[in-house]
Amino acid sequence: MLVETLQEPIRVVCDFDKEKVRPLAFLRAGRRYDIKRVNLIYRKRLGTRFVWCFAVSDGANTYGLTYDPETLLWSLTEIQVEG
Amino acid sequence: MSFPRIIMHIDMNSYFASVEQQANPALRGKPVGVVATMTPHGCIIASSKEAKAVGIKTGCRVDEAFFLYPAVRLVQVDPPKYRSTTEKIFSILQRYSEDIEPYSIDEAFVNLTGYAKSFNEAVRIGHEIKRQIFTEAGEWLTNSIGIAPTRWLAKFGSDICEKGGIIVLHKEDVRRYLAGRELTEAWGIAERTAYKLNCLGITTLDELAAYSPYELQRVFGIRGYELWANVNGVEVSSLRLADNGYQVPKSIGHSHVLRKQTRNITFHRAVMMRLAERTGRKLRSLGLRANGIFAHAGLHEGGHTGESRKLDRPIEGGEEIFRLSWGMVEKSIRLSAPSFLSLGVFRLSPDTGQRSLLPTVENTVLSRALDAINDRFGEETIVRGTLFGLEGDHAPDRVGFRKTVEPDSRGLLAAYKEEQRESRDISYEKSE
Ligand SMILES: [Mg+2]
Repeated sequence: MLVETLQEPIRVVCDFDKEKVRPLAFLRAGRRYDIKRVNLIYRKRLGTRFVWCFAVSDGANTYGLTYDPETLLWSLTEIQVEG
Repeated sequence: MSFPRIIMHIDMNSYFASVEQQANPALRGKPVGVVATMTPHGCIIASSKEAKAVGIKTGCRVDEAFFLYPAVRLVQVDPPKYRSTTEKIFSILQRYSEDIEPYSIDEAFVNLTGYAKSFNEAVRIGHEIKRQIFTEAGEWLTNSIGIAPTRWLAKFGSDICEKGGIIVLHKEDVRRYLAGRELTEAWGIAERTAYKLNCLGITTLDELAAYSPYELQRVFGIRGYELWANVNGVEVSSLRLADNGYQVPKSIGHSHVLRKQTRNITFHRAVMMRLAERTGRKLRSLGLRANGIFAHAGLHEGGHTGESRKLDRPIEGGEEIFRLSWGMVEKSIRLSAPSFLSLGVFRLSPDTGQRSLLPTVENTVLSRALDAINDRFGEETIVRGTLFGLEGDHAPDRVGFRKTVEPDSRGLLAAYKEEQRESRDISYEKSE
C-alpha cells in the first residue's frame, strides 16, 4: 500500500442531495475517476474553521477529498494505492 | 408509575482501527495497527480485531508487530476522523435519551430509565442503535452493548459481551456472570487493588460479591463498600446519571503513585499541594464548589489511611483543599512512608457567586488570576511556594481522575488525550 498526501485543487462532480452530499466523480490530469463508494465523511479543524473530508473509493484505490465550505473549493488530499 | 432503572453502556469495538478500515475498505479484514509515528520503536496505539487475533495489541512496538505479522498494515493516527465519527455516533444515542454520559472517545452511558419501559425494550433500542450506526456512521463499525440496572454492571456487561453483541445483566443473576472471573476483569480494579483483595482471600469477582461489605469497608474505606456494591448491582453513583442529566460531576480529584519510598515530609507536602492545586483549578474551571473533601494515603508497609469529611461551608481553592486534605493524612505519613497519595472533593454544586460570610483562607480572585496565567502560558507557570522546587515528573498530570464527564468543558479532543493518557497509565501500572 502506498500512501501519498498532497494538496491539489481538483474538479469534482458533486450531488447536493436534500439531506446529504455525495461526490460522484473527480477529474485529474485529464482522467475521470468515478466514485463508487463514499466510505467516511468527517470534519477536520483547519485553524478557526472546519473543512469536510470525504474518504472515497473508485473501486481500485482510496482517495481523500476535502471540501472547504468557506472557499467552496475541493482538493485532493490523499491517495492510497493498493498493491 | 415508576419505571425500572435501565442503564446502557455502549463500547465501540477496536474503534480507531475500525474507523480507519471504514475509511479505507482495502484495510478491512486485515491486521491493522494505528500508530503515532512510523518509526520501529513507535507504539501501536490501537489495533484492529484481526491484528489482535495475531497477537498485536495496544502498546505493542512497531518492530514487534512486524515480527508477529510481517504484512501488518500500519496507518498514522488521525484524530479528526475518530472525533467526527464519535460525534455522529453520540448524536444517534441522543435520539433515545436526553441523559447521555460520554465516557471516552468510544464509550458512552445512556440512561434509558423512563425511556425504555422494560429490559426487552432496551434490547430493541440497542439493536436499533446498532442499525443506525451501521447505516449512518459506517457499516464496518461494530460495538458491544451492556444493559443493566446500574452503571457499573452495564459497563461490565459490555466488557464481557461478545464483540458486536448485546448483553443484559439482571441484578438477580449477576453472580452467575461473575463466577470464576478474574478481579482485574472488572472495571475499576487494577493490579494493586486485586493484590490487596487477594490478601483477604478474594481471588474472583463472585468471591468479592459474597464477601462482607463491612469488612471491605474496614480495609479499603469507602472504596471498599463501592467495590462490594458494584459487583452486587447496587448503584453507588446515582448522581452521575441524575434525572436532570449529567451536569454535575460527583467528585473531582487527583492521585499520585510515589515512585520512590521516602520519608521526606516536605516532598509529600509538595505532592499533596500540587494535587490540591489541580483539583482546585478543575473545580473552578467547571464553575463548581465542593462541600466535601477526602484524602487517602497508601502506606508502604501496607494498609491505608485517610478520611472523608462533609463540610458545612463550600471550598473551592487549592490552598484550602490542601490544608484540609493534608490534615487528614499528615499524622500517618509522618510515621510511615506513603506509597500513594490521593485527594478529592465531593458534594459538588454550581458556584452561585455568593461568598461565605466566614473569612476564607483563600483569595478567590487570586486563584482565578493564577488560573488565567497558567491557562495562557502552560500548566504551573505560576505556582505556590510549596510547589516551588518540586520536579516536573512528580505527580504528573496523567493521574487525574474524574467520576463523570463535564459536558461543556470537555471536548472530544480532551477525551482523546485522556485516552492516550490512560493507555500510558496502564503500562505504568504494569511496570511496577
Ligand atoms: Mg472500545
